[in-house]
Amino acid sequence: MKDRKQIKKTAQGSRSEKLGRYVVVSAVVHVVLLVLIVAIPEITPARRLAPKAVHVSLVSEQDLPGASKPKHRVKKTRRPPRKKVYQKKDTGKKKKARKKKPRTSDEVKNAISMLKKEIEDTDSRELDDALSRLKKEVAEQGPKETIDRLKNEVAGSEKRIGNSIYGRHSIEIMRIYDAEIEARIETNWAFAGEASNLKAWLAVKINKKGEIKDIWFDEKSGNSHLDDSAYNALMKSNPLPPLPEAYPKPEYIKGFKFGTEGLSSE
Amino acid sequence: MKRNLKYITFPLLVFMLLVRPVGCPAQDKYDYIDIDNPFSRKIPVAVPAFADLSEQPADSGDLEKMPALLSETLVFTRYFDVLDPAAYLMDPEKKAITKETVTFSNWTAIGADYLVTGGFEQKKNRIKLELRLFDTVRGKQLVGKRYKGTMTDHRRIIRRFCTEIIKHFTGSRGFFNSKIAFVSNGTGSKEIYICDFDGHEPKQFTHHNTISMFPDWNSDGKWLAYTSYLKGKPDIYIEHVRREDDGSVINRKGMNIDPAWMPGKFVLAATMSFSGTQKIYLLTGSGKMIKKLTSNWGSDISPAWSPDGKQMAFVSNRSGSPQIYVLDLDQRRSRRITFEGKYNTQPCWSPRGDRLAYTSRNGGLNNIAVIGLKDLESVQLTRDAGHNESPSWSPDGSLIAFSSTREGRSRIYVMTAYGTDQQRLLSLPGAQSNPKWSPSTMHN
Repeated sequence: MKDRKQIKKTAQGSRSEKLGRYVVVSAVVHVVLLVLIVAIPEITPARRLAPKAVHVSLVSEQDLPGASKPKHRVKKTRRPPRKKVYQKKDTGKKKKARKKKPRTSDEVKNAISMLKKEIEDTDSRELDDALSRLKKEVAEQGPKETIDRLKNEVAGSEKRIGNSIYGRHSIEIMRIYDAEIEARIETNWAFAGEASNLKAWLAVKINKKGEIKDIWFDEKSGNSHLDDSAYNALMKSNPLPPLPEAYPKPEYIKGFKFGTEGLSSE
Repeated sequence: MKRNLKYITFPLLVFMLLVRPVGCPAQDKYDYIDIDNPFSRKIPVAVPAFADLSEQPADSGDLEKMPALLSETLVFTRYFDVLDPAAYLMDPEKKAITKETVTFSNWTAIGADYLVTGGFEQKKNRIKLELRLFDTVRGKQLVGKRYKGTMTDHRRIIRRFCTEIIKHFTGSRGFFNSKIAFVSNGTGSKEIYICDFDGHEPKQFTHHNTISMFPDWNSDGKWLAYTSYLKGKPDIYIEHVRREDDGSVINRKGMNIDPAWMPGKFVLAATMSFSGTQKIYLLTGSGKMIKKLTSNWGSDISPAWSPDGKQMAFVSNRSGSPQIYVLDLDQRRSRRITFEGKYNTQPCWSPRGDRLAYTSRNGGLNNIAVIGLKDLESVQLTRDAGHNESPSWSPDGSLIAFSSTREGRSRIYVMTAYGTDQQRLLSLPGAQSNPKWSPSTMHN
C-alpha cells in the first residue's frame, strides 16, 4: 500500500513538474513574442495578413468619394424594403399590378417636381449647414486657422486616396503624364526581332524637370538585344516632359515592361 | 533532447508564421507601363567611310566601296536601317574609329543607335582591316575585329564581320555563309544555278541542256541533289558542289523526282513511281533503297524534312485534292496539316521546326503561306502579285526565298518570315524558279 501511495505521489510530483515546465516555457514564449512585437512591429500578424497592395481601380474610383457623403443622401438612394416585394409576391397581385393604368403625364411631372424640390432642399440644407459651421469656426478661431485647417484636410484626403500619394485629380494628371512618356519612349524604341513572350522590366527615376536621373533593370529578358534596345529607348527619351506641378514629390519612379508581343499582331 | 525539440518546435513555428518573408518584389513599389510595339522594326545604324590608316596612303580602289558593301549586307538582313551618309556629322579627316576618338553625340543626334567604323591598311595586294560596332547611346564598343587578307577578300571580310554583328543582336550566326540554288532558263534550257545569299555571283551549276529542277542541299552544304531529264525521263542526280567527289544517279523505272536530304545524314527521301503510283522512298546518298516511307492510297510527292529528321512533310491527294501531311517516322502515322483550299503544295519546314511554308492556290493564283504546326493556323504572306511559289527558308529562319511572276517572268524574291520587305534577289536573263537556300555551313 505504502509503495502504491509512494508511486502515486511520485507520479503526481512528476505531473506537476511537467505542468510547471509547460507553464514556464509558455510564459517565456509569450514574453519573447511580446518583446518581438514591440521591438519589430513588422512581424505582427495584422501586417502580414493585410493585402500586399491596395489596388485602386481608377474607373471605379469615381464612386469612392460617395463613402464620405452625408448619411441622409445615402438614404435617398436606398431601395425600398424587400418586405413589400415579398408581400406582393405572396398576395399574388402580379396580374393586378400589370393591369395598372399607365401614369399620366401630370403624375410624372408631379413626381419630377417633387424630386427636384427634395434635391434642392437637401443641397441647400447641406450648404447652409456647412456655411454656418465655417462662419462659426472663423469667428471662433480666425480666418487663417480655418483656411490652414481646410488645406490640411484636402491634402490629407488626397493622401489617403490611391497609392498613398495623391488624389483623384492628381491621379488623372499622372495618367496623362504616363501616356505622354509612354508615347515618347515607344517612339524611341527600335527593335528588330521576332515576337516572343520575353519581357524586359526596367524602371526610371524622373526629377521635376523631367530628367531621367537613374535607369535600372528590375528583370532582364534574357535576350540581350531586347534588353539593350529597351535601355536605349529610355536613354534616348531623356529628358522626358517635366513632372506635372500637381505631383507632390520631387522624384517620380516609373516602371516599363518592354515586350515584343505587339510584333505578332502585324 | 527529443523533449527539448518538442518545446522549441512550437514557438519556432509560431515565429516563422509571424515573420514576413524577406525580399519584397520590386513590382510592388511602382507600377509598370507596357511597351510592346516598337516604333521601328529596324535598327538605325550609321556606316561612315573607312579610314585609310596606311603609312603611305595610295589609291584604295575597291576598299572605298567596303562601307557601301557592309551597308548592303546589313540592309539585306532586314534587321538594319543604314542612315543616309549625307546626314553624318563627322570630319572624315579625323579618322575617328575607336571609342576614344568617336564623338557619340554626333551619331545619336542623327538618330543612329549603332555605328560601324572601319580602318584599313594596304601594302601592295595585302590588306589589314579593323572593324568596330558601337552602341552610340551608351558609348560602348560591342564588337571589334581585325582581319588580314588580299584585296580580293574584302567581300568575305565584310560578311564575316556582319556575321559577328548579327550574332551580337540575334544570337544566331545568320546566313552570310549560305548560298541559294535555283533554276534558270537563261541559256534556253532549264539549268541549276548557285548564287550567294544576296544574289551575288550567280554561277551555272549544271550544263545538261535539258530540264533540270528541284535542287536540294544536304546538311553540310557539300552535296546537291536535283531532278534532270538528261536521259529523257526524270531521274535524280547527286553531285558534289565543288565536284571534288563522284556523284550518283537514281534512275529507277518511271519518275524519280523531288530529292530531299535528311538532316544530318547522307540519306535522302525522293518521290518514285516504279511501283505504279508516286510514293516517297528513303535512299542512301549513293542511290540504294532503304525503305518505303508512304504507302497510303493516292500519290505522295514533295517530301520535306523537319529539322530533327523525325518527321517528314509531304503532299498527297489521298483526300481528293493535293494537301500537306506530316509523317511521324517513329509512330509511322501521318496527319493532315492543311484544310483550307483545294491546292496546297511545296511544303518547306522552318529551321526552328515550328512552322511550314507552302504554296497555296486561292482565286486562281498561287501564293506563299505559313502554317503553325501546333495550332494549324495559316497566314498568307503574298497576295495580289502574280503567282508566288516554291518557298525556302534561310538557315536562321528569318527570311523566305520564293519565286514570283509579279514582274511578268518568274524571278527569285526574298521576304521576311512575316511576309514584309519583299524584294527581288537577282536579275538574270530568262526566268528563274525553284530557289533552295543552303545551310549556313558553306565555305566562301
